Amino acid sequence: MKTYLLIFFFFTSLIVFSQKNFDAGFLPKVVLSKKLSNQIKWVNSLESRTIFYDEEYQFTHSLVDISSILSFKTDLNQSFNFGYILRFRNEETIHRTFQHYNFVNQFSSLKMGQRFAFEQFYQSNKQTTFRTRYRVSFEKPLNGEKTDVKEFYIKLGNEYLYDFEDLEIRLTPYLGYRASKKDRIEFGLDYRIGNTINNPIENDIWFRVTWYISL
Amino acid sequence: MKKILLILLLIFSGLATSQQKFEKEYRIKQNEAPQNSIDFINNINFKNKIKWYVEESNDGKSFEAKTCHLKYFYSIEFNEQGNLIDVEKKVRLQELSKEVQQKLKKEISKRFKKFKFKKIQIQYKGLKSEVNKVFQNISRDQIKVRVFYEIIVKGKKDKQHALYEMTFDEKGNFLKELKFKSSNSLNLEF
Repeated sequence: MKTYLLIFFFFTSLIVFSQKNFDAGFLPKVVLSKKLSNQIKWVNSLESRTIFYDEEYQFTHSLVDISSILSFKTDLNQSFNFGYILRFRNEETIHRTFQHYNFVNQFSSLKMGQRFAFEQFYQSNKQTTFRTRYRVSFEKPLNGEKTDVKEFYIKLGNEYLYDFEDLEIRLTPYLGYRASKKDRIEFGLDYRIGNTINNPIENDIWFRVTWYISL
Repeated sequence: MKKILLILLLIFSGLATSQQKFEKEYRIKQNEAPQNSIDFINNINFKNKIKWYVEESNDGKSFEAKTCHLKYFYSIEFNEQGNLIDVEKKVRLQELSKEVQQKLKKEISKRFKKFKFKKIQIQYKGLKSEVNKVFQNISRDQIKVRVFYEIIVKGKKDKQHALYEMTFDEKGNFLKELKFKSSNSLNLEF
């Protein structure tokens, strides 16, 4: 396991650090979820971004995202989410609204989640812009057929984001730990390949830590 | 910032230490299972790989051997001492007799507005020597075992969808129903 991880990090760093238009940083996130009724969940998150490589090594705080989402469960494994993100970046504030459609499938030991999203960006003195997204994620326990409390799991994600001009692709391998029935923590990489249509291609790699808490 | 971190730490420590029903399932190697259970499995001469699991909960510990045999998926459960509890065989609805199919549908539709079969297992309980015959091509009337149907259904009740485990006897009479707690997929959705 350790050897695989080392090889993975070695090659990722080789690919990524040898590119131009490359940023790297740290993305910690906390997701707090509260069940309001059997069908409705209220999900809030706080995420910050710190850059430690942008053409040269540095340590700069880049942005903070605060989001609030109302999630409506429409079936056992399906939900519609309506949300709002407030992004604070330097002096500017970006408002974003979004709609998600999620569905989760459970196979014998593999759990698959799919998300279709539509986003609207609002910024003062700028035209409203739109973006569509599709993400597929897989979760597999490292031991047994389901992720029990105090067990580790692997989560792999792949997302496509299209803003009607260009396409961004994200690959997200994570190692997760289910600390209790109500919270889990995930560590991993969020590798983003931007400007894939218009070029020059941008490569970003973010080291992510996400803590999911269900209240 | 420090205050936020402190609040988060307090929440986390509270969550991590709160009392919970203990339930854990994990893979083990064959030699970690009780000898009785290994002997039972070895006697059957399965051709495919056997995967061994332990299930631990507040109620105790059990061992489970899972394999695929003659195109059917089997799960063989033993208690902590290695004594056979039951054998479960995964089947399709169409493989059950017409009468049983109709009875099951009738019984289930009484309990739900809408429902869908998710998994059907035939459960065999009895003496080792008899249950053993389940794995051979011996007709049902020559095997002295008790048969139950363990069915997982996605059902709608009170405007709410949920998964239920329902148990029926061999004739399709309803015995019990257990509602599954919905699984948390927060990390796959957000």
